Amino acid sequence: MTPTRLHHLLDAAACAPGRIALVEGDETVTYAALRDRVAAMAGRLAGLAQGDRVAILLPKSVSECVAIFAASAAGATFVPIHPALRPRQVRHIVEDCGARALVTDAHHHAALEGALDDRSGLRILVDGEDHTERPGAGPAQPAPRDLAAILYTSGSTGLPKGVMLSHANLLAGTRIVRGYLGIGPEDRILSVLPLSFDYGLNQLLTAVEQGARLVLRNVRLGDDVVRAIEEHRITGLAGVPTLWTLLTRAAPRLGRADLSSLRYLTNSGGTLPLDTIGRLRRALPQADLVLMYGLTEAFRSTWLPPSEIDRRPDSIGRAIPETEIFALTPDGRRARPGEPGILHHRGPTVSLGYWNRPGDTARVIVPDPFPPAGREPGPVCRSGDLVVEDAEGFFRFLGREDAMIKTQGFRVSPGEVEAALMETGAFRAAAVIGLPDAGLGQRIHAVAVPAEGGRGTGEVLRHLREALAPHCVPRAIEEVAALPTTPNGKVDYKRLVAERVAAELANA
Amino acid sequence: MVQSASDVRQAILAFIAVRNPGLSPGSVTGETSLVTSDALDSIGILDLMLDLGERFGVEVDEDSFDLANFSSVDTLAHYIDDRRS
Repeated sequence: MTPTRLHHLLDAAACAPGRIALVEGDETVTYAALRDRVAAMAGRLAGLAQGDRVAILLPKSVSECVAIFAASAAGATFVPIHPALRPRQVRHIVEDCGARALVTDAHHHAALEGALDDRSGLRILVDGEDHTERPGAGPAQPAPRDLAAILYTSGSTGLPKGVMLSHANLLAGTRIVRGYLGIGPEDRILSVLPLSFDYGLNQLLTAVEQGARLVLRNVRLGDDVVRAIEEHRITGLAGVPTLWTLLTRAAPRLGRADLSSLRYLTNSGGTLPLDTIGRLRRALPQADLVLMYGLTEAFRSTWLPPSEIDRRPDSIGRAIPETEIFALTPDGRRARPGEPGILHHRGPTVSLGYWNRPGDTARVIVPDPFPPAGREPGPVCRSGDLVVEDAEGFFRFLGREDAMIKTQGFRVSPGEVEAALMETGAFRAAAVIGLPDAGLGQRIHAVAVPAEGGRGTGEVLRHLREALAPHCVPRAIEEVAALPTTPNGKVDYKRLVAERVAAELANA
Repeated sequence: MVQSASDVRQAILAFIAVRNPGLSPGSVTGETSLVTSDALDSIGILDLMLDLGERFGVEVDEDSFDLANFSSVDTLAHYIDDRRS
């Protein structure tokens, strides 16, 4: 039977009862045990209406995987929250999606410092136990049919927005990626990326779809990754540029360990510097390195087959299966080879848009500019990424059309960081930009005009660390007398970036 | 030895405190593991090593990131202390 809901993946014949599904530390969980735990958790979520949102605030763990499938089995929508977010961001997500339940553990519950205590109608389940009185049943906001998940991600402006993914979206993304990576039942996949990230979630889904094994690991050092590969004879590893930096520059065991089990590596969430590609290819010559590109709004869009990497290491590849990718010029033409345009995506992973934000959705999920003859235009995703296609149909990423920053695989809105800077009272004006960084993809750099009698740098940084998630804190705060502006009087972000990149090149 | 490494240890604890604004005093000690605790994430550890390298004039290279050096704050303090000029 073809699965139509996410939890149907667990019912496939491939997920034989005795096979190991998940490994966390010393704990192994078979598919039979995983199904039991999912059923038990789904029972605890009973009483939710179809499409009700279940926020999940857990570290990478078996419990987190269970909660994801249990939400689906209960007919609910799961909203995974990155476990390093500060109480303020967690509250934003829980409020924005109107969550009816939060699944968390004692550690993360305590770290919220009561930030959600005044939410009426929110059930808080801590380590499986209900910590709330029967909540007053507030009016439930209906969700689109088939809504499976809402993943929060930043844009160029405002607070993080929730991208709505249908069951069909997630199942298509699973099928497509499993297909081109050739994932099968004997694969042992290492999961180091957060499951709140569509690309990280994909390792869980592709493994379960094939009855394969997923090893969950929170890594801090490059050797953590090396040890996990050795101990579990890992065959597949998915990472973002930061992970490859750790592995190639800060993992003394990399050159000494037997990593011959590794069959493939995939990168997404930012461009990989050529130097890092070279180091990975030399250290792990038997492993295929697969470059991927995508945005949560359409899951993945392109992939570069590993046979092409030595020829075009700076390419993002071409369309993933079942999908068409094209670049559109500002006047709405299909860009010719060599001509820059905005990447558009047509296919089964185009999301349902943003939760509760029809205006933003209309800018990103647009009617197909080239609908098949005689048919109504379906939705396509307008990525906002500037790309160029070569004569053989391979794309290259040129940059964003807006000020959105991509760092460590995360998207960061400059506005959110600027707001936190201004809250300190230490600045009259602040602009936040992304500068190229070999390790991080981009690094966050703040340019600010100090206020009279403002607080010192130490106090400013303390406030930023309280207010922002770790990956959103600027790496440096540069003080200037005034910010450059465009003729329209807006801050000239392009000039701020260009000046600093030029200065770094001159000093290199 | 323990005495001379104590300034490195203080620098490590201060770095962790700045990175974790909500941390209650005393919850991270010399015995805290940097591998298994939540004191620092991977970028935090890279930053810490750069910071210690500059502060104490120690060359931080690939081998500095041996897991054994991070089994506790004190182990790392001794590693840096042994190498300072």
